[in-house]
Amino acid sequence: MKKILLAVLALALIGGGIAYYQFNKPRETAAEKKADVVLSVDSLFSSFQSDETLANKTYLNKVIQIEGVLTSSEMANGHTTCTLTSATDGVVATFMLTDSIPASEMAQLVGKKVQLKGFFAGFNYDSMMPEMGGTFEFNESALIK
Amino acid sequence: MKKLFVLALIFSSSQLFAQKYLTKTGTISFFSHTNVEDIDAKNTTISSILDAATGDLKFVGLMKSFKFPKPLMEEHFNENYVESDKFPKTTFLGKVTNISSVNFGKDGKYPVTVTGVLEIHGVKKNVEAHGTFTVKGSSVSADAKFKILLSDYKVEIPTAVKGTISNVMEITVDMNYNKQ
Repeated sequence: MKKILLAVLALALIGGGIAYYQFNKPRETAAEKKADVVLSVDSLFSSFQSDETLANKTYLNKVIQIEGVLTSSEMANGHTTCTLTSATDGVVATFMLTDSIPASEMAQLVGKKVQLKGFFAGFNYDSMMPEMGGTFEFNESALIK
Repeated sequence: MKKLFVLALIFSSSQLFAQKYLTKTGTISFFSHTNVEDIDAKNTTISSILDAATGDLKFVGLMKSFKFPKPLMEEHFNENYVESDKFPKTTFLGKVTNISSVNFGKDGKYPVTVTGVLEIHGVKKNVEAHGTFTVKGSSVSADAKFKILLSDYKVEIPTAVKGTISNVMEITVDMNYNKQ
């Protein structure tokens, strides 16, 4: 009887430990992941232009690495956000970095070619407001130096 | 000369009233409360357009850009509740019903009522919200709060956690628009 009670207690402790870990597990970041795909903002845009549903199926949640010219960088809510433009007017890619990088450091990179990778969250665009252009959004991103 | 002046005035007035206000960094957050669990999440990359002449108001945002305090909550939200892979966006298409009471040329706070169609989880539903426009120079900030029912948008709460998650979500809208 005592053995059974000990076994139940052990199982409860293990279960509780797993649940606690799951609830408090750290956020997955792109920095620690190998990119699933390397492409440009323009080729990503081409995929969405030809078939948005298929493009979402192909790229959502994937770690995508993009090289492009850094057009701006800003700090909000403790995170640095980097923007890369494309050859298409109004289409940009924004990477919300997991880390915050000092503004002075980022300012030196504006106008230069950089490589960024992040978890693809989707294409923020709607045909009912074309004047807003479209933004490819990436979360938990990293600047590859 | 006088006619020309009047024409110029009419033209400049129509330009003024045809003004659109835009943002790509609007915030939408939601909050729900039960005695067991509070849920709150925030999306700070909402794109929105306000047409000062017609009162047309539109926004679009990605479901995966709602950030929760805990990654596990975010995972459950995207995979089990709103099925973000299947329905990646939320949109709103509506109108400020009392836009004529807002003087975009004069700094101040103006109470507004917005009605329109909110789409979440692929389901479109009419909503009404009361809020405030704050005009300051060439920018307008918009704040509003309203409640929705998850069941209206076919967002199912699993039976196992029914008592711990509320069906009522309070939505808070916070936009800072700049003149186009």
